[in-house]
Amino acid sequence: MRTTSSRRKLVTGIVCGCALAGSVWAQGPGERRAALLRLVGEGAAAVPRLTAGLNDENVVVRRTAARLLARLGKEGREPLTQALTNSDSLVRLIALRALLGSHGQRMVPLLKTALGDENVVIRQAAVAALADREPQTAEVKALLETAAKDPVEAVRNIAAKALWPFHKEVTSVRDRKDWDHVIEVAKTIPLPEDGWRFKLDPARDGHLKKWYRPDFDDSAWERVRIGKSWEEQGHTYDGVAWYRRTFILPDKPPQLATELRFDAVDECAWVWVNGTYVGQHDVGPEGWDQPFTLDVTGALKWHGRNQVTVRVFDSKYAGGIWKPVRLEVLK
Amino acid sequence: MSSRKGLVLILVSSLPAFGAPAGRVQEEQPWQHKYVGKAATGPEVIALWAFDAGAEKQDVSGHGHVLRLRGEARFVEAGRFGGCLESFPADSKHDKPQGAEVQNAPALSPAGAFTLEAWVKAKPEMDNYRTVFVLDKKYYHYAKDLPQANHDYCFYLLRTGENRRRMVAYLGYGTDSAQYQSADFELKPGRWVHLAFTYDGAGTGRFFLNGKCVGKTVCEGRGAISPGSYNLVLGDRYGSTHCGFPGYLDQVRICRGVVPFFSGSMAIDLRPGPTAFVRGTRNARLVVVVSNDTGKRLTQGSVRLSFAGVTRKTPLPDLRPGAGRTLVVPVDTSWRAGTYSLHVAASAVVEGKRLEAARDIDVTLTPRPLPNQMPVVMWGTGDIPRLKEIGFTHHLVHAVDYAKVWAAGRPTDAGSTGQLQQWGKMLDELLVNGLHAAVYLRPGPWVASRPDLKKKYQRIDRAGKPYDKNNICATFPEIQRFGYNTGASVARSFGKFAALDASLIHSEVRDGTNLCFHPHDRKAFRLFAGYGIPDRVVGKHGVRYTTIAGFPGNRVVPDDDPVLTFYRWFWKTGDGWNDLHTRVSDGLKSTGRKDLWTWFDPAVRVPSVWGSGGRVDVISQWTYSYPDPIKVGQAADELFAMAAGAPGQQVMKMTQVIWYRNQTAPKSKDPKVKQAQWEKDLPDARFITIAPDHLREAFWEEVSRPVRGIMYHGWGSLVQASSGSYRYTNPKTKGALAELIRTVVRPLGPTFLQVADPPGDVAVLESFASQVFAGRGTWGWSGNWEADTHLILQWAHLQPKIIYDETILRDGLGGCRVLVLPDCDVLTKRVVARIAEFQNKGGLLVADENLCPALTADILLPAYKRTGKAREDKAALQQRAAALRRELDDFYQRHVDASNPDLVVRCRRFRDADYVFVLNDKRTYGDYVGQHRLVMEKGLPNEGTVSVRRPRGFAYDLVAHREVPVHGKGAFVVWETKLGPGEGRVYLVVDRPLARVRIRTPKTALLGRDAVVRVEVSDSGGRLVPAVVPVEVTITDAQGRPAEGSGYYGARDGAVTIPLALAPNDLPGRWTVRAVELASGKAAAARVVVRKP
Repeated sequence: MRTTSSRRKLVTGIVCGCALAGSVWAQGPGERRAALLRLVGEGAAAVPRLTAGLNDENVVVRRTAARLLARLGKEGREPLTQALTNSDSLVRLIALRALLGSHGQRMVPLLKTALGDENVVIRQAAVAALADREPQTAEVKALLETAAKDPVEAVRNIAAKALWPFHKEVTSVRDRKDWDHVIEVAKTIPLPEDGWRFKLDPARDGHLKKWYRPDFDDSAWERVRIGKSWEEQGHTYDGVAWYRRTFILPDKPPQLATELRFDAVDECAWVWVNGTYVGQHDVGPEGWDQPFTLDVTGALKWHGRNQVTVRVFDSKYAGGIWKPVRLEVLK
Repeated sequence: MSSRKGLVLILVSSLPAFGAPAGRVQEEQPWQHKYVGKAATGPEVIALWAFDAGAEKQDVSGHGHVLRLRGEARFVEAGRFGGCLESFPADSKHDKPQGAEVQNAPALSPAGAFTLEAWVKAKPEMDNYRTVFVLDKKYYHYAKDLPQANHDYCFYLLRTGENRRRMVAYLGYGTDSAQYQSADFELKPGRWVHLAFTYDGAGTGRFFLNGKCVGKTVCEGRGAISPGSYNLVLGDRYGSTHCGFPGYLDQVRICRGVVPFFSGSMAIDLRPGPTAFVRGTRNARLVVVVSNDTGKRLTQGSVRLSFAGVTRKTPLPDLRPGAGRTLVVPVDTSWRAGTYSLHVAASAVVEGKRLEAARDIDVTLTPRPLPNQMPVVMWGTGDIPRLKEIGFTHHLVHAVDYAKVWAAGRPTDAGSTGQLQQWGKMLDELLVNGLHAAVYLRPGPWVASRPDLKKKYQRIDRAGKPYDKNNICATFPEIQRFGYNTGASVARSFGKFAALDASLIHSEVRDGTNLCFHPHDRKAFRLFAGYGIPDRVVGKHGVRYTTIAGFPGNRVVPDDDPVLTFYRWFWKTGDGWNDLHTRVSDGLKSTGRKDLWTWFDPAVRVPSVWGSGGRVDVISQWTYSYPDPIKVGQAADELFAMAAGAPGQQVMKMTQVIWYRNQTAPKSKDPKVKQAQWEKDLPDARFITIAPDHLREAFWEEVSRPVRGIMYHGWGSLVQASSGSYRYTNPKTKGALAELIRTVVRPLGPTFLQVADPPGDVAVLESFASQVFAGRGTWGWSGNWEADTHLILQWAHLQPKIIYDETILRDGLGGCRVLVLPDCDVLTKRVVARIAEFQNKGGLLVADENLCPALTADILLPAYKRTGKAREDKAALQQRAAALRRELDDFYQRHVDASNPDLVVRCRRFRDADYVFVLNDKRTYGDYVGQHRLVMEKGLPNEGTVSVRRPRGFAYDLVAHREVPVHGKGAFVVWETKLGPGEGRVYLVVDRPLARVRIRTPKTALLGRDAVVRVEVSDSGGRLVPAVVPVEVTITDAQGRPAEGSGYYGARDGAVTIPLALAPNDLPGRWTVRAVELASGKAAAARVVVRKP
């Protein structure tokens, strides 16, 4: 709560600030901005004049005022709170960022308001702040779900990533530093390149519809091949898409472990085997031509039917499972 | 030899490349006769085919290597010694094997030294075929990594010009093969000649034409050939139907050992070395070798060297067969430019008979180059007449045998004797024509092209698996040595050839580089950083921060972040390429050649971190001009940003003459799209010619910056030529380029090269941290939002310079008023601190919505994603430019301005003089490619005003050479400009008007002595103009002939001093010096009386 003393200072400052503003507005915007910059170092005493600067007719001057207020920390909090409704979006953004750093749990209402801002940069800043929140409370989650429906993809992407529930640390058996064994591939079982079911997921909600479940009915999905991009099969598309396929495995061979090896997926992949999430390859666009393996030892059914689901995300150029996939039985 | 007596003004016709027709052949040689007796059936003869009637197929040696005819080949009577084998070429009409075949036999693969020989007579149609085989037992006459491809031998003739050939032998050694080549020689149809190749079994191969040695190749470390399993074929290639010999073969013989061949005369040869010199070259000389090629001892010999009627006679010692006498002939290069003749006559006695031989050798002296000439490089290989016609100064040549240098393991001759002769002749020919050569050296890619070497040196991924794309790990010490040896071998072989004064090193190798995980790579990084390569590093483009858990919310990373540190190391030194360029460059300069400059391109197809190109002298970059040609300036500014990290390094810029068809005029099935004529004529064209108005704009974007030179690639699209997929679809482009070179580069280049850029107060940050962590960066393609930001600034009449993170950390932001931050998502802590400090001191930040949250922009420049529709995109970007202008105008004062955004302005300065460049970017869709709506290629006229901030001034149009009326408007000097499509102008603005040109000369000058001419340009105050003023100087001798020193200059501080080195054979009398300053056109003349001393 503000003290009487500080309130007095503020009132006095605003009066002085307005008077000053009246005089400096006779100057050009360059001079007015320079005048504000000269206030650096004056601390709280500068607040009234900076606050007045928030209403300068020139937006660059206003932004300068907001930025300098943000540098003041808690002294600038009050005028910055008012600045959240400033007509200039950059002023609002500066204010939002400054206030986020000092509001703690109370920031959620701020972010809720910001998520409704007409300016996408502010919405992006808000959703990024929400995504960074730990723990992800129900309130935060609800806001993220709102943001996941934002008309702008950049905002949706941040929300969707924050809400994504699947993750598993992945280390190939071959890379485990605690295993002092010579590991060899005893057997290779290629997965068929044809007969895959495929569906685009522009809304990125396939996981909410449980498309990874083994009993999900994918019979209406398009048939495609792996080993070539989805663009080569008629889909000029960047975004999320899903691949599903069943395959039969023989009797269980002697093994140390079994890994599912993808020679390359363009560009990110999340994988389920028989409904069990087994891991991801998610290193961004650089991953488009990188091979990766996932330990599926515990998820496979030997001597029986198995189902694999791969969710793929591609941000640009070609996308999809464009190289072969196989099981490698390790000894 | 006295220099004053050295040369004579006699022009003679050109001579064969290697050796000369010797004097009369007086000593009969065995090869001139039909082989009989021991020559036919002796123990050294492996096989001999004489094709004589009744025994046409028989092996005369008696070893049973019987012939079987193939295709239409036949035995005929018109042989050199009776019958012969007639063979044929293969083409669509003769698509079958030709020649005659012999069953494989072990004896046909000699274990050590051996000799191949044949008499051959070409048919007229031979000149239509590039490669014709005399003998083949190898099948693969090119490098091939197959077990069966590297055995035995083949011997063929390669076309090198009209009725000109080179002998080539390609020998297989089991795992690889090596090539041996002769010099070029004339092979006229209808004439029998004797060809032979001898191999010593230890890497030395020699070629003989009519008994005379015409080339020697040494492949160090080689031994005997490896025996193969293919049959032997005479007159065609073994397994192909397209290398048949269109002619006749007679007396084909294969022997064990090296058979001695002699021409039967004395040979007068020139050692490899230049025969064309720039006037004033020190220690110029020819090395003449007179040798005994008779097979018998020569006695009582002498040599006469004649110049200008003065003859010097030198005795020859007695010479045993094959021995020679070397004579060093100094060349007096003080003589007037021209072609002179050296006459060499040799005389000796052999077995009591006098034998004589003579040869005339052309020596050409070329004028000394004028200072500050701007290179115009054809990045590719053209032909001399058209290179000259267009105005190029350089083109690319290839002049090194990498396999030879690799095998030597040290600097060596860059090629075989024949190759050295051939390449030397080419270089001399360029110099004589006023052209220069840039040797293209690429030892790194050559290693990758050799399967056996690639296995060891190819880059490998984390799992140790070689990458698919060829790119070697350049950090191997032996690769670095090879780089140096390659450069040094070229320097050693061609360092005396004045024409070769430039070198392109390793073009386009960084595109294919990748992370590499050899033990030495890992160790090198650990040594550098103190820790291993971070696990999350998987590709060369960086790691997206969105994939890094716990990445700072304000997107500020420590300057020594391990991932950032790794990529900084990788792109600077880690992949080895920059150091390898340096090594090649160092090798090229190892003989002390001062005027040779080296370059690397495309140098900014890398992230924004200093070091690209290593320590080459010049970095360059090519740019496709579509959709907006002013992007060429953006790429040029990236080069300047890169070169800022290597003090002294200069920048050149290249415009691609080719356009990708699919990006400018893709095949369309839309009937509404009216096809251009070229689309109907060349429906499958993949690369087409740049539109002339784009070329003009690109040119002005380049020369408005302080580039050291300009380049063009795409000879096959610039002129009518057979250059693969490059098509000549716009004949106007060539003329546009020629005109620009003639009217701008030549007259104004010497001025441009002396005028610098001002420091600049608008900067664009290309953030390396954002490239590493957010996948940003133009990577030299000038095609994304970051590049478009630069275009916006140009259209807003700002003059942006590009800076890197490193620039900020080294130089700060002092002097900068506006900092533009496109796609700067992630920044380092120190960079953020410097920028914040800059902003707090009043600097303005212009940024898009992606800016690192630790900073806030003063002005928002929203990112724009192009639609691909050229007009809409340009309009949208120009709208942003207009908005930016409006917001900036309250805070920023620009130095130069124009009245409409399509007048793009740029200013350079020399003292108080402004050089204001203006180019016309007003364009619309034309009917060349515009019908596809991807490129507005048609320029439109444009007019408006140009202004420069200065209290007063007088403006001169340096292209039109006239003064331009100006008026004052506030703080500006303003004038009107009117430009045609794609046109540009440069205006010189000075405080006082130019008033006078004055020439200072001595009244008299002496032949053979130096004199000095000084041209001065003064202003109305009588002082020398404090600017660089373009001046044209014409010096004519007493007969009105142009003399050396004539040409274009940039008169620095209003004056230029021209050394007049009068030749001893110049004409005495009244010489005239005329000078015109090219700003207002004022002129002056003076006379000098030239006398004999």
